Amino acid sequence: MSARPFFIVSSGRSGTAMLHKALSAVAGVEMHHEYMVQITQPLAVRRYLSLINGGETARVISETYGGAIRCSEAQHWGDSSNKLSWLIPDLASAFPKARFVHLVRDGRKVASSYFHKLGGECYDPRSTAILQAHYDDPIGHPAPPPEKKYWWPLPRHGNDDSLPFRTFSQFERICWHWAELNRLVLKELSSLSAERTLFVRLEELRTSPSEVRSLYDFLGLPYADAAYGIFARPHNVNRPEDRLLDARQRAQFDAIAGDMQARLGYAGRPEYMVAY
Amino acid sequence: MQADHCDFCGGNSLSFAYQPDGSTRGLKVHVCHHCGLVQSTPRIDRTEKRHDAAVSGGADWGNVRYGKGFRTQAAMDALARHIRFNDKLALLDVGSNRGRFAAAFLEAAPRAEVTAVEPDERYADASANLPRTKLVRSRIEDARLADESFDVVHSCHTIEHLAHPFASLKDHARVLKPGGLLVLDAPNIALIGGDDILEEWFIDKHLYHFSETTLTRMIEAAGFTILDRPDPRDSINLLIVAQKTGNATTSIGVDPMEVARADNLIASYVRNRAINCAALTNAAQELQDLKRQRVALWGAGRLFDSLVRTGGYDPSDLALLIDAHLINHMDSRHGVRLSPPHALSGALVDVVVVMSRGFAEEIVAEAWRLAPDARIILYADLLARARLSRAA
Repeated sequence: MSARPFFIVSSGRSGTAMLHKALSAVAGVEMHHEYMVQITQPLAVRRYLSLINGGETARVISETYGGAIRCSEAQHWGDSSNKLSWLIPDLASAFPKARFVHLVRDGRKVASSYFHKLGGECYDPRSTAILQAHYDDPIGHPAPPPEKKYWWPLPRHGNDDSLPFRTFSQFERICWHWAELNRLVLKELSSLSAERTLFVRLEELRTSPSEVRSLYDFLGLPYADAAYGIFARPHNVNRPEDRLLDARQRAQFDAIAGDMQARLGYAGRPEYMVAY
Repeated sequence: MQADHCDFCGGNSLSFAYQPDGSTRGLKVHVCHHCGLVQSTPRIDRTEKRHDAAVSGGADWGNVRYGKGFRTQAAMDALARHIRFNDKLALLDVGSNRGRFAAAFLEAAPRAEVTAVEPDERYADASANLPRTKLVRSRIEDARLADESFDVVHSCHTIEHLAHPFASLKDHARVLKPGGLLVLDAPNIALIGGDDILEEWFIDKHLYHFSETTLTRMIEAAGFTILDRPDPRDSINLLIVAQKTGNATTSIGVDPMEVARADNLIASYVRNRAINCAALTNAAQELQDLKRQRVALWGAGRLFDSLVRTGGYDPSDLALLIDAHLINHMDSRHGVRLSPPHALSGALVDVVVVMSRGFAEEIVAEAWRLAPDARIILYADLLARARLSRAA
């Protein structure tokens, strides 16, 4: 293997594009954002829902990520993608030297951004119902195409949240997604050795050059002060607008994701506005 | 600081994780769900009455205090990378125990002066007799030491006993000269992640249970920068060399990854230890079936105690019970007289059972030298077979 791999695991709308942009600028790094998303997104959901086994997952990872890393001419090969969050044990096993960065952002901002900016491709009612039908009865309801809007994780059969989820609004489904993704990432990364994992908050990367330096040090990349400039403003902005949650949304978010919000260190922090 | 608050971050998120087996002090293990530091409460910071030397596989471990002597060379090697022993150095040895580290330091540094702090009346005198050494007979928290008066602070397997380790680390920074060095060694909680764990790791004498992450974070927050991180191959000890910066931190951020890691680690420990303790009866039976052969068992410490007390092993038929270190502190264990390693030579034993995890390699080498024809049974293999037969 020629390149040393690293993976940024995170919810979407949390700064994965910003990290992609920043790390792409570092010499010796081949950096991707949502590498081969039409393969990895259905793979991630299937893996989470046990619709695919570990052997088949390993084969796909080997053919995609393994091939890319093997053929890379760079010293470091990275991907920044929320899809990876559901594949951590498989990636850790396929790439025993790979490092993982768990990037988080205030869940209220994530939920608002998904809901207002990507509502058409994230847990819309029709696409969610199609995937749910496939999960409930894979033979009677064949899989939807590998299009982004269909492939978002659902609660596993038998889990406590499986039945309530079916009554959730789109916004509540997004809240569940954020909380469950971070729960799973913490669980899976905590079983790896500490030197392979780093936890960072988007808000601190944007305000603290020392946090950015720690990230570069962790990845074994050279840090220059100029790198911090990229972190100081938003990226992947398809609409430069920001909305605070309304009272109903705040209550829904707290009920579904409040525990995770506290676990990630956001308890008591006021909801902030993004400056574009 | 109240006992229901984390000593490091000050948060009130201590979450109950585990009740140690056989605790005589009623300690309960908690994980701070803010910073991830594992800690036991209530925080008992005084030993009213020391009991006689004993060794147990349970939480009431005993009171021999001989382990830190094994760490002297590692600490000296670490220091040698950062100081010149020919300089005139002032050393503070926190918990100097039997004075072994202080003696090694004085020998290597002929112009050095040592202040040894040791509250245990049974061992303190060992340091009092060392040259160029001032003995302070007290706990480190009560020792009144001047600001910026030491070049080196050495603390070996002591911080985990203190009621308030973060405050003590900040005090270590206070007494160090600018740029002074801290050499700190502590038990590594990573050990409990092994699937061969058997003894109770959360013993009554330890109030804090550090990982590399929590210990390095605490040291940095106390006003140090880390020079040498722990050896990643060492799952038993966390040996760290740090340099005083004087920039202490008051706000300790949340670390959800460390919290999850601590929760997982303790859950895995509880699961594995239950399996292993249940399997001990099978291990004991395998050894009992050897009774027509002459069996020597090497290692009379915590694993042996668990084998007898939990597994029901009857050691009375042993030809030899060997322990190179415990023999200096007690005559017998579970009714069997202790022997030194050289007793193995000429004892004509058929089997040597090595009841050690950390020193198994050295013991095997020595056993082969002393009893070349004997069959060796390792603790790890014995346990693995016992687990398999239990599962079957």
